[in-house]
Amino acid sequence: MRSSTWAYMAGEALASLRRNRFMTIASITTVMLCLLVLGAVYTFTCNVAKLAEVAEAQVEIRAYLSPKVDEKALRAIQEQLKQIPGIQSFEYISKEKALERMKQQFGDKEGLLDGIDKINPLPASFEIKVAEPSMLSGVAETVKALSGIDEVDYQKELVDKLLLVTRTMRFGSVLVVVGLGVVTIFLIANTIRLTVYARRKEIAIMKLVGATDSLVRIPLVLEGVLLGVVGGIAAGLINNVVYAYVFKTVSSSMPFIPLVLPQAVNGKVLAITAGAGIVIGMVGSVVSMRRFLRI
Amino acid sequence: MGPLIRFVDVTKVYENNCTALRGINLSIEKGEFVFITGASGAGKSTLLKMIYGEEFPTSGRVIVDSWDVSKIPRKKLPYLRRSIGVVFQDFKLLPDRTVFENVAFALRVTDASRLAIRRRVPAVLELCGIKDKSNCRPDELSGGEQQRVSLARALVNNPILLVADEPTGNLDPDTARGIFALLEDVNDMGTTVIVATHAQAMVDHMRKRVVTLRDGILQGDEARGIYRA
Repeated sequence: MRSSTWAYMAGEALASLRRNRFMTIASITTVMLCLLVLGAVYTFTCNVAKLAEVAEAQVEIRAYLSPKVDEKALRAIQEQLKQIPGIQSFEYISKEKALERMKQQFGDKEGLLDGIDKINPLPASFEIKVAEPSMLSGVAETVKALSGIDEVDYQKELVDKLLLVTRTMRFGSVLVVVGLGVVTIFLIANTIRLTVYARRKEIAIMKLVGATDSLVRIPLVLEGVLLGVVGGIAAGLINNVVYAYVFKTVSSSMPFIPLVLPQAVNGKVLAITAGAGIVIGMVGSVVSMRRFLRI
Repeated sequence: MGPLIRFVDVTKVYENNCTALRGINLSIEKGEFVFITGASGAGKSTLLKMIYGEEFPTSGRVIVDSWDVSKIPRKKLPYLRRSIGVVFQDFKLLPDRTVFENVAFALRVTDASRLAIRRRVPAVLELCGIKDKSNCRPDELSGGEQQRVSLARALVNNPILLVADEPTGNLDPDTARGIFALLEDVNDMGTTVIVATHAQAMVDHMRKRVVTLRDGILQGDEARGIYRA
């Protein structure tokens, strides 16, 4: 098609948005409200993921050394730990350091531990952090098999529960996002169908004077995309402003809650709502006009 | 070269089992002026719609120029329609656009250049006698003027064939006479014209070929005929 025909179609799309002002506003509002919810769910999901990450990072394996391990054997174990895949970092806790910690935990009742210094029954150990919580049990097994390691301990049940919770939450939010997307497409398709219905006469005339399907379709799809992208950007911006405010409020009053920084998530939210707006507008208009093209 | 339009044993049964046309055989030569007459419901509109592919025969074949309309693929249908101008009883103009835009519309869909639109539209408006109404909207025009706009739109693509379905059904006799005179002019310039009509006085006066339908059956076909219902 020539450029003047494209220009004509773009002009048609804009003119029709202006002519059907009420429908335009109604459609944009519908898109915006749906995508606002979508953006909010996404932001929430990001925060859940972050929370889960922080919680998961606190889980570690403790490997107790046999009392027979000497300097040389200790270095050998350290070398071996470095080779095990899945281990992110480890720290050696000597007998002395273990006792030190215990004293700290007892605090002002330190006196109870008087005399324990001489025998120090606490074993030396390694505190091991793994890259992925799902690797915990595997790494624990491997470490346990090393010579010089007496016992391995991690909070298996707690870890399993935590993994279950975070997995469920991630899966649940994906489900909500997908469900909302479908509902949104439905709503938009309906709104656009009203627009197309209002113009069925015009479409019929176009077809009768020999317009190809694409010449009828392109301005309408452009219209749908415009509605979608404006609604999407509006939703994204509102989301950004609200989240920045929530972040400011929560992080000043409850700083222990690890929230995702607005800078880290706002751009993505805007991209998602604008992108979803485009797709929804396009799909919605194509789906709703198919019937009216059969002339 | 064969006839411009050929109906071969055409039968049309609508989905509700109502038979609109039965075994129609009809040939129309290039350059002819043909009236299709008959009572309401005799099948006139169905016959015309089959020429520009709004309806398709249940059996039989409809050939227009080099197109087999009864088997035309959807993708090619727009190109058939561009070579046929169609005029309706209710004009079918776009109410929110000027006369110029309504006519230019039919050129735009053919991907015509701006220059072609600027040249062709005023010329055809002049031919139809409404050049001075170029910037009016349809609701500012009389019925006769609106039908002239619709005629201009049908002619702007230089069609080989003009099909008019009761073009004067909504107009008073004087105005109707003007429209028929215009149709005759168009025919004189070489365009084949097919008109379905109830305007008995005009048909009797013009003495053109008259094809009469009754209950979907071809009842008469006279070379210089008069109106028969």
